[in-house]
Amino acid sequence: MQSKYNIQITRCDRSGKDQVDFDHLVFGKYFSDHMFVADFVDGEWKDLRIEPLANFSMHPATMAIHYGQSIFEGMKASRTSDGQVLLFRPELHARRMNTSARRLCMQEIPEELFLEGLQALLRVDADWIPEKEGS
Amino acid sequence: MRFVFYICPTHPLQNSAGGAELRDTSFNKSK
Repeated sequence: MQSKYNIQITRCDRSGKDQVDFDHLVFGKYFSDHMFVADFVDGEWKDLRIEPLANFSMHPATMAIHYGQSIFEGMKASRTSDGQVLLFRPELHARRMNTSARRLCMQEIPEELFLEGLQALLRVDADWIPEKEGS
Repeated sequence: MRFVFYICPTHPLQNSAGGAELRDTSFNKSK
């Protein structure tokens, strides 16, 4: 399928995966090498990119700091015994994210952008998806 | 406004989804 979006990919120089003990994963402690980022500027989502995971720099007046105007979704990517990566109803996560966005007067994210960004990041960091049975 | 995805590798939460959902056919292949 032809992508509607142009996602620039900048890979990290060296993966941190060998620093992670996949037999003793702790929720919220480890993160994969990259992140997907898009910025809403001048009325549209721009500068779609995958880049090395890093801290953000924020303006002191950032709304997320002052008013807690921030929304969050989480989902799991699972690997099958034959190596496929599966997501469970990701489109419903995209719709729920936009329900949250409307409630907090935030810009909605097109469902296609949500799904393409998600899948692009999973392709780049697919090796991070645990392979052990039950993962 | 900024939109971000990041990945946090972990084992399953113990366990709200359960096997029933894992047999659901609504999974989307991500590759």
